[in-house]
Amino acid sequence: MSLRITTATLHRTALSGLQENLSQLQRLQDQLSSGRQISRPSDSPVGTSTALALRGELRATQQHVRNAEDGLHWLGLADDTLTGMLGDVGRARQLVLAGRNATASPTDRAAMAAEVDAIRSAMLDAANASTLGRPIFAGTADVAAAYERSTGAYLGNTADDVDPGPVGKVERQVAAGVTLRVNLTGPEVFGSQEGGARDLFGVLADIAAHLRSGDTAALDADLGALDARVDGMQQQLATVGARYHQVDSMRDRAERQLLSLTQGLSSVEDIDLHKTIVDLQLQEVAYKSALSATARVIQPSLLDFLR
Amino acid sequence: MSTFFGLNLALRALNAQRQGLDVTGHNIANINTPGYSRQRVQLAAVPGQVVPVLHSQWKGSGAGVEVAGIDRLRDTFVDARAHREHAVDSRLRQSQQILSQVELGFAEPSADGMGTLLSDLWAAWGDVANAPTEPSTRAQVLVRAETLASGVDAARGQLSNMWGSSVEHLRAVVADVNSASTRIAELNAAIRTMTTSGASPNDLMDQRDLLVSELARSVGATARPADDGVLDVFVGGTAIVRGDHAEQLAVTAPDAIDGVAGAPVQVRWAKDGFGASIADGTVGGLLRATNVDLPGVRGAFDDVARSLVDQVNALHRAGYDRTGAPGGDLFAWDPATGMDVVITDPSRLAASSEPPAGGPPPTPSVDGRNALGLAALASAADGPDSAYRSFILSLGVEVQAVDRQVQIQAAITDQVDALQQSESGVNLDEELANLVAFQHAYSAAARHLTAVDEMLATLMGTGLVGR
Repeated sequence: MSLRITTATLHRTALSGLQENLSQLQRLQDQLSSGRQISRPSDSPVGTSTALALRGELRATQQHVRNAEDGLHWLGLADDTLTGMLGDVGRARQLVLAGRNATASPTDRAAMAAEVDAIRSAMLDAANASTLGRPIFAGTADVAAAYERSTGAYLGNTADDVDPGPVGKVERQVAAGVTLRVNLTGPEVFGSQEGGARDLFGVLADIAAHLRSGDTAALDADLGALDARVDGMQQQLATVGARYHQVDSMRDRAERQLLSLTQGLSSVEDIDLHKTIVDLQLQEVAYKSALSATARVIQPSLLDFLR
Repeated sequence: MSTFFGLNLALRALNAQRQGLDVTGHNIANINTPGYSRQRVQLAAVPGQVVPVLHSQWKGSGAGVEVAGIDRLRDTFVDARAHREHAVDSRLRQSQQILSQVELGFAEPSADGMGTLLSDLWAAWGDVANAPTEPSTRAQVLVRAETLASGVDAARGQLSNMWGSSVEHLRAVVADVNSASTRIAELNAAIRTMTTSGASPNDLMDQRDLLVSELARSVGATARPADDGVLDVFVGGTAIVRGDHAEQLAVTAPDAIDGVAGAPVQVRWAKDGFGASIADGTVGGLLRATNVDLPGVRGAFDDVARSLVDQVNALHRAGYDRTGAPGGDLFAWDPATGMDVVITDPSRLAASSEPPAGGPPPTPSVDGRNALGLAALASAADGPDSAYRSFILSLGVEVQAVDRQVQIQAAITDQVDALQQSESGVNLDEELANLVAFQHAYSAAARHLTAVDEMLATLMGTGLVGR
């Protein structure tokens, strides 16, 4: 279609071309100064949705790392406590063996009983180890200590790994859908107190009493019970070690995932710096050409040539 | 043939060429005037005597040139197309402007948007799950819940404000339309007077066409020429200007965005209260924004907020707080006031999922399983985060679609404007060439006059006849 061109048409074409170039320049400048290629959802709706999802997942994974580290703290404390206590129990065992010996005099046995009492107190204190005001062997009971200091009665609640309920379990979420238990309750480690059964502290109390009374037969039974309790503690120590290893590897996995999520987010949201700089330079050249063309077109008119 | 026939002829030529120069000068003077249509003298040769008389016969030449009229070069069909395209363009640009503002208000994707506020809340619940007896972690949950609730309320308030200012803008545009239509009616009256008296009211028509274009951009008006140079203007099929009479429009709107469902924003005729069916133009765009777009976005956002409140409350009610009582609602939702945090005491946050046991009195459990459940909403497949993402996605797609439509329409509008300019615009080179042509013709006619004058002088002045 042959169009008659007027002065106004030339002006308008030139101006709209310059505007187009300038708006491209501004977009690139925006991208370079913010470092992001998506500044609003309409720039890339799908990219925005992906970025939001990645940000949410990133935050959740950071929380998982925190949870895992808190869990490792609990498990580490249990590990240290139990290791120390096993050392003490060894000493108590020696005292029992010495006390069973017929050559021990009542004075000696009284002294041994006192030492066993002291060991029992120390172990009760160790069993009341706490972190942030919560005793680590009390399960989920709201108590100040796991064991009553004077009587050795257990104050917390019991847990059962078979039962899926939350009673007695301290749990940490270390990945989406993965929750790990990071505690042990007193009865699980030191023996149950239910139905008149003797746990570790009960056995130690009895040992002290039997040393004082010199009841050798009872001491033999006590020795057997003590060994059984020590086996239990060692088993639980192994469990703690295994759980620690598990939580540690989950924490490592979460940290690796943090890295890959950050990379993914960057690839969606951030600009490719080199490409954008090259685009900016190309756009500048285009703008300069448009300016030069405009200058050439709008300046000359017939006036320049009329006498 | 009269003696002074030649003089008359030359005089006619001078007049005609001078008028041609005047019109060319008028065109050059108005080269940058918006809405100006170029004008052209219509020159017609004056014939000699045409009607034969009984004892007289005309054997001479024609009697010169006269200006039959001054044409205004304007294509009404292209004008009608331009009105339509500009109306659609205005509507789309108005929609784009409002939706862009809405989109920017949500500030996604960034570290300041609501997505981050949600993530903060879930992380705070995660910390409570790690230390249910710590008052500081519980207080943090309350603070973050408050921040989230005020973020939701702020977004709703922003949409409400945008709606209010759009209604104000609508009223202002309709007021402008009313004054423009009154002015068009006045111009129609003046043009009719001039046309019936034989003059060429070209510049008044240009003014009127400019106002009609403005009406087309505002309300999608169309124009139909009537007798005597009058232009009738129609909006949605009803005449807003007929001859020298103009109608007025009025806006009826509810007080707040919530009232749109029952009483939509409408533009009515002031004379009878009937609704004016306006689909295009700025007013069309504003009506669409205030009746459909903004309430739609707010409704979708309300759905996201409501589902968040419901899901959190459902989990919270299933748990037990630090005092051993069952957890109540954490959030409250009211369509008028938005989202609120109901709990103020950190110990009332239900972190535990086990009722108090043992006793008497029963002691509360300090497990954190309910808090874990709340924290796990972060990754839930149909949880609040996912609903919010879908909302932002559909908002982004809507804005992207309008952006594309605006670009396409801008290209069409530019093309129609170029057609209009091609017909009515002033080309400086053309006018300068015309200037030269008329100038030469004037000089030649002046020369002719001088020649005739010399002849007459020879006849009457330097001769000896009659002395």
